[in-house]
Amino acid sequence: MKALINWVEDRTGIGALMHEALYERVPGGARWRYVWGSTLVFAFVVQLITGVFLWMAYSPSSQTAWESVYYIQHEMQFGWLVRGLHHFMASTMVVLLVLHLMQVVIDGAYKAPREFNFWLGLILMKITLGLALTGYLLPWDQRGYWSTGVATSLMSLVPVVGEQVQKLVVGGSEYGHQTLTRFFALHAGVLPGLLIFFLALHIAIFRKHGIHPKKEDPKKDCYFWPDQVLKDGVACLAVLCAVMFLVGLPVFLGHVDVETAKADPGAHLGAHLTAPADPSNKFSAARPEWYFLFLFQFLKFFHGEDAERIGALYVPGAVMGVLFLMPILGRWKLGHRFNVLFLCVLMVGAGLLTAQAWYDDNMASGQGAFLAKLPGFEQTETKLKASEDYLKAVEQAETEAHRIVELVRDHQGIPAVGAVSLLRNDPQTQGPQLFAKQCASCHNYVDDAGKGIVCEKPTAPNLYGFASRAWIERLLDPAHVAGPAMFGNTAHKEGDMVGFVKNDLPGLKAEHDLKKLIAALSAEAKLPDQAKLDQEDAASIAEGRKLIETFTCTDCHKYGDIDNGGGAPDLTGYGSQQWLSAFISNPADARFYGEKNDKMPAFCQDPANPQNNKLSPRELEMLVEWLRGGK
Amino acid sequence: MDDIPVAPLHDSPRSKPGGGAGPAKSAEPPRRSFFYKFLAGVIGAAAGAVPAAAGVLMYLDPLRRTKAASKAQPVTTLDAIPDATGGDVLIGQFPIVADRMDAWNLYPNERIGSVYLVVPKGSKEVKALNTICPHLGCAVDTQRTGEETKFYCPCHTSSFTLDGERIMPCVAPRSMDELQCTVTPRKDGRFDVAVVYQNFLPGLEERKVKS
Repeated sequence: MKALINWVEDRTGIGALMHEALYERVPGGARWRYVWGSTLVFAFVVQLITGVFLWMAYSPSSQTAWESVYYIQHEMQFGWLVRGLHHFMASTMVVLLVLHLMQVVIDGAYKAPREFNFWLGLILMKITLGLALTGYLLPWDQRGYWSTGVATSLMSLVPVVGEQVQKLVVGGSEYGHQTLTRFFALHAGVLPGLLIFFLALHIAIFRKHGIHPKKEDPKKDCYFWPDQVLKDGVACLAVLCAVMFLVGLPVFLGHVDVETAKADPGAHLGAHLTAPADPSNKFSAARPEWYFLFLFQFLKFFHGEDAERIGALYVPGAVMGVLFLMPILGRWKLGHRFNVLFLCVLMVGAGLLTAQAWYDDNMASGQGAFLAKLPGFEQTETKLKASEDYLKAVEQAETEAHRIVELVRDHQGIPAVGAVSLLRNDPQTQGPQLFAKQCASCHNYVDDAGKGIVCEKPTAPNLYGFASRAWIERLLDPAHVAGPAMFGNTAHKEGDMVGFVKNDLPGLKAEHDLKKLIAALSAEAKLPDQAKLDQEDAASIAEGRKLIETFTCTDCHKYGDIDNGGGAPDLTGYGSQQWLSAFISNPADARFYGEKNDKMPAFCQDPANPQNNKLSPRELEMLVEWLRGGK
Repeated sequence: MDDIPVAPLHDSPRSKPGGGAGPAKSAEPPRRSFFYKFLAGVIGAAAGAVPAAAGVLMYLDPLRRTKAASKAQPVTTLDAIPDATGGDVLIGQFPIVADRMDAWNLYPNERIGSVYLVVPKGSKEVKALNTICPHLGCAVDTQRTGEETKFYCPCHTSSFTLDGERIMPCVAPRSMDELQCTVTPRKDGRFDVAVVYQNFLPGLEERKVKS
């Protein structure tokens, strides 16, 4: 054995090299404050390991990036863990970078002869931040897509060549396949390569000068191995535990119980994955990763192109400049004090800006209310409104993130055109958005508790539960028919229907069963949620159908073959998919309101020519399906 | 490691000017006990093992995935098998169309493979052969020499009779893979041919279904 070791040693010198590496003298003894550099190397190694494994499953293109990350997160065993480690270790690395920088500056370890090592450290910091920025886009989810868009937009501010720089980084004028291939090559190839190169230099120079001792004490001198290695190892393990804690945070916070998390870890643990990027679906909750939030917030203070340039380029540039000059300034005692002070001010400033950014977004939730007392944290109406919008967007993003997973599972796979097509074709997702865009300027869609899609000044009926028994009951209720949830704000307020419900119906109701009429009318809609009920009440519904004439509805409304030419909307199939589609397509059609139509526009009068319509036939179909779903 | 003598610290050739460590005045610092080294090694290894293990487990994911069992699916009708050879048997190649899963993607109704259907003229005993060569997975062709027609793999020149049997000498380790095939009469008097399509691991004497 010994002969073999010697044989290898003679030919490779591995032993001597290891020896050289491990028996580095640590003057003054091993210390906890020296661990930061080692933890950073450890964090980087973890990123390399997890990154390479993620690479084996990731596919960079706008139709496969989100999809492959979905597969990693939700389908592959322990994919959520590898992705979670990679995600949270990236954040941790930024924290460790700051700690390392502070330790080096406060201890004065950047002074001669270690200037070059300090500069190399700053370069490493830039590379790490570059890795963070490029990595954020790769999942191609709504958050990464819209947030990174802000960062690349800022590149166009670069004087003279800004436009070209931006185009080259993005790989075209808009985000697409080339953006992903370029970002991925940077993230997995160029930047880690550069990082390894500069890290090797950084460590080589560090070993040349030796550790910068906190306190000289020759009696306590020791070697790197095992004294400092043990401390470094413990620190690295602590870093790993912290990251694992973050990966499992929902369980530790009690948001998810262990059994649920075990059954579907991808849905609850590790890094977040929002819905697939959709350029046509604006994501108002787009924010950069938390460690860039201070920059994001900083830009709120600069209005207009020239000012923006100052905030986005010149000030950060100047700060980096000062950091680079620190070793020179540090030659003087006063200079060193300035450096320490500058760094502290920078940290406090960044911290305050981060807090401000967070509070601006979350003030409407009532969280962190104590911050409101600080200057610059005052609540204003505009800020509150913005915060409400932000929180609403976050909620919508959560819903969509959850919904897309359901859709992929229902569909048992993702169509080759990409997962976003599933969301775009999903009535449950598109219905409320189409309603908010097209209908909510007049109609409310709110349940009894007032929740739903709220119209500020409704001028038309509340469509929540349209054509359900409850809805028709309200329509036929003298107390409600002319109320704001029905015809109260329309031209029909004074119309025949309101008159009938108020004057004639109470008498008719005394003699005949209104409940059966309501059940029969509602059954015309064949609402999915009411299918079971309709089946159970088949007998009374059959009786109710006969009552439609008894209640004199057919005096004005057409029903089946009975048509007295009254001109009111046809009750045949009232509220059904076909009826509602036709109605929304053109409410002024003779089958519906005809000339009596109030303000409602025709949304799809000319399906053959989509450009003439407010809604495409498919959009109309989804809107109707959602309205009838009652969800 | 301990076998290599450690140079005393004051012999170190390194220059340590300025804030450097400076020449050590003391004797060699103490070498720590085995326990210290063991602890440092174990803790370091543990920290590195977690991400590596997670990555390896993720990499092994394909091993726990198995294809769903194949079901008989209609391929063609009996009368559609052409008289391609002019001999005693009818023979034709037919595509197998089915939903294909590729990791996260679902491709509905794609051509996922093909079969040779071989049937003696006038018979209903259809033989279905997978067109993939049992040698190393190339696509088997038909080859006609004079009056005789046989299956022939262009990669390593394996030949098979129209029954799928090897014609020796042959590099393929087994005969062509026969698939379960059923012929059922239809109301219009024609016959449906259905096949349970499966792929098998090439290169082995034993027929093993790819799972």
